[in-house]
Amino acid sequence: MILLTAILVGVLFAQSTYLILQRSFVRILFGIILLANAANLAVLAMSGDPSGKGVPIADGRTELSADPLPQALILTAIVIGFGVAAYFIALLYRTFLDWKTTDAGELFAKSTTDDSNSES
Amino acid sequence: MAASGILIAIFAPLVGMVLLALLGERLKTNVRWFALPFPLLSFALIVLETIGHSAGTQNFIHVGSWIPGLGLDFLILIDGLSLFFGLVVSGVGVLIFFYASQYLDDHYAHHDRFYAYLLLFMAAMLGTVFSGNLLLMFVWWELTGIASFFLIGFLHNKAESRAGARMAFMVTITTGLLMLAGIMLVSEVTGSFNLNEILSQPIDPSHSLWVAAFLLIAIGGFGKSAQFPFYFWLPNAMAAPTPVSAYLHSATMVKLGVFLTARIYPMFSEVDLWTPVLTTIGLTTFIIASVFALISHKLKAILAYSTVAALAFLISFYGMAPAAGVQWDLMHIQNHVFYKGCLFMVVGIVTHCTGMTDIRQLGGLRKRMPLLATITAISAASMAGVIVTFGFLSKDYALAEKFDYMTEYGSFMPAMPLVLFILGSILKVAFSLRLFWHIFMGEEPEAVGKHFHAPSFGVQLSPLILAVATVFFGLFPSLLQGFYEKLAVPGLHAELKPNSLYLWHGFDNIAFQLSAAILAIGALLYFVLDRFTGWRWEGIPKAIRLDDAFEWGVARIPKFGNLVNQSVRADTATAYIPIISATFIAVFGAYIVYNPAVLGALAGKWQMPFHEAEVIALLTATLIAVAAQGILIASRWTTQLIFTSIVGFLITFYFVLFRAPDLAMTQILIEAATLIMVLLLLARFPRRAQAGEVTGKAQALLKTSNSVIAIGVGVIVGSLTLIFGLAPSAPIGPWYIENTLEKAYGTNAVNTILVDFRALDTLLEVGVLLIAGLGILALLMRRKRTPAEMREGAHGQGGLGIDPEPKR
Repeated sequence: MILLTAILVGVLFAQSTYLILQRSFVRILFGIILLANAANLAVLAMSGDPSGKGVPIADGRTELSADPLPQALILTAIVIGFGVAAYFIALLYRTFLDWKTTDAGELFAKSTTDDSNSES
Repeated sequence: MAASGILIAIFAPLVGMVLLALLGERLKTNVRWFALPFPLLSFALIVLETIGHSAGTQNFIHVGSWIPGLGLDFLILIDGLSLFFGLVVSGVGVLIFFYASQYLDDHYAHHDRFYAYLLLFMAAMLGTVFSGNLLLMFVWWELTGIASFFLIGFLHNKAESRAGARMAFMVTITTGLLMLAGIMLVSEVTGSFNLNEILSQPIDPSHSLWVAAFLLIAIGGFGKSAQFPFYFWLPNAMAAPTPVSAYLHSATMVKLGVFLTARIYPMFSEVDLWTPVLTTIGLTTFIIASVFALISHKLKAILAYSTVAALAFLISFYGMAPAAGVQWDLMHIQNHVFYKGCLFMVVGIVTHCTGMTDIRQLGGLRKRMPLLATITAISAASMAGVIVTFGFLSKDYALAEKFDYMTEYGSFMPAMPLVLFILGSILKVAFSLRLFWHIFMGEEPEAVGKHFHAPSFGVQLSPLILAVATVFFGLFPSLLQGFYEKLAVPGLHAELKPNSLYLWHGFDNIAFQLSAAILAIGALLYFVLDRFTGWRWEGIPKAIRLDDAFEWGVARIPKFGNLVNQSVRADTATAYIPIISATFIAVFGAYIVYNPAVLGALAGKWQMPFHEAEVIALLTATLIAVAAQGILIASRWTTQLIFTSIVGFLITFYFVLFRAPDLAMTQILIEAATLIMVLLLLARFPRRAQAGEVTGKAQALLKTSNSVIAIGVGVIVGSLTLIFGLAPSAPIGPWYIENTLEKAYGTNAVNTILVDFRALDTLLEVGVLLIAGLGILALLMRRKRTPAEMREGAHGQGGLGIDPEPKR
């Protein structure tokens, strides 16, 4: 299952990178959300193959448990990823209000030239 | 008494610096009278210490450990050498502070800073010479460089001051760092930075690290003492006010190289390279600087080059020291301090009174300034080595020593030092004569009379004291015999014969005859040059001025940086992401490619035919990948959002497969919240915003390159995930499972890790959320801009501050 996860992580990373390389800020936002998910999976793969293991709960079972540490780290990462996404959404909203564009290239062109306000 | 006296002597000026810096604004020019007590106090304490010093001993006093982990102890070393330099630094300090109090007038702003810097410098100098720990010495040593930087650049509205300060700083600090490397090697060999521990160890002088240490430390000394090829900084440092030049750049700081040579003599004099390196560099500099002193026209440049020459002589002097140890080195240093400090103060007064800096513009001042003419005559005579001055003795003994070297000890080019020394001394006589003659004798140019105003007696007092001392000790040198005997340092100085320091050695003495011949030839050289050339050249030829080469090299550094910057920088953030991604691919790709063992070790660890339980996993993974691809393909934002959410919810299943129920729960909640937030955002955008995006066609080339980068990143991260997932490791997870009930009273290990074992992490995570929340609040609550403001454009500088053109 590690191989499968690795392939999935690779695919997701490729897709999210492609999205982040776009000029549309909305697509970049989706790319970042996707990237956070992919990164979580990559960390999860570190806990090793889960087959034959139980959940990491110490209730007296004798079977092997999954590694709880990556899970705890991912739990933190999910929440922080949410914070970042939320901030990015607010930033996008403000950028759009100020610059009337969702295009990264256009934004930089506007912000570096004087006719930044020529909103048609 | 011993340690505390010296400690007070070192730290009192530092206290003074702070006080002057605080009070200076109120005191205005009266600050000078508050500065003077500090050098007086230090001088008095060191004099007391010298009186109580028992001859030929070294006292190491451990004041405390500063940074024990580095071997940096605050170790004070009191011996003849440190006391001698301490006397010079504080004694000349008293004279200079008094001189400065008369010299600095209302033309100079910020007297408080000036004296504060001088006090800082003095403390740093005293710290350097009394250090018994090499690292400690280095710290003080560099502090003198910093103080010197401030003092040279004191008139900071002048370009030449800034350039001179920068040059001096760069040369001395860079060579100082090389010295630090040498000090590190010393501790590598001996295991200590403390001089007493270093010297008590038997060291093989041919040890390669030891030789390297010697060379590196010697470079530090050469840099500070402006030896070849670093001699160019000293004349440029003359942009400083004259009291600074007289103090730092003749009497004290530049002597640090000489001090260092003496200090490391017991450590390195057995090294084979000792004599060749020091002698070659010293004598080369001696000749070059003497020639430059003769052909320079600026008053201070003449003195600067003659200082370089004198320092070069002193360094070569230690280089040629016989095995038994050196003699009379302190006398040579003292002689130079007396006449050179005096001459610097004199030319400062001359420039002050006439406004002239070029020796060719001056002349005939003996009538206007008879006292100063007398002072100058004495000091210039001492520089030339005329009998009855202290300089005569110095030259006499130096010549005798060169003879001894040639006949007895010479293993390295025996006659060369004598020949070069005679040559340099002839030049010295010529420029000494020129210095005096061109200022005070001959016809007075008209321009001089126009600007002239007479100097006060006060400003002439300090040079007068030095000139009187020059004659006094020139006539009664035997008074100093006991002083030098007392200051002998074991391992450095040879024992002095009783009553061996006296003026008259007789006519049939080869040293005396040579000395007289040098005077005659030097005078002849001066008159020949005066008669036949008229000094009509433009200073030192451009081609051999190393300072120009240095400036050229320094100017290349920012140009090079600019070049690098231009080649990798982009003006928009969008252009950076491909660069960052490509770098990521290159670095990790190279790591994986060049370490095939990383992947090879994994062979056989994965099972290819999926077993039954994994069919669900395969299905989920496929769905996730397909949904994610949907984001890329879909053109409408809402569709993209739905695909993003599908990915997020499907990952919940994946978490379940990995036996992570807590993650699955969190993921569902967060995914729902994200979905709502993005929906809210998209609802705010007008339809045309999206429409404009859809119609914009991407170029094929860009698409291809983006795809290549994206796939590259995917491959790399996938490989890394495989490596991390399969590589053998020692997981600490089981420890948590075993201890969760016992230590945290909870069965769910994931929960206890979050709220108990690693609770601080979670607290900080909450902090991150708080910051993000505040940021969002700030973004959303920002006042809406009026149409007029919108027309004005963005507030602040555009282009993320990269744009050099300021906005209107």
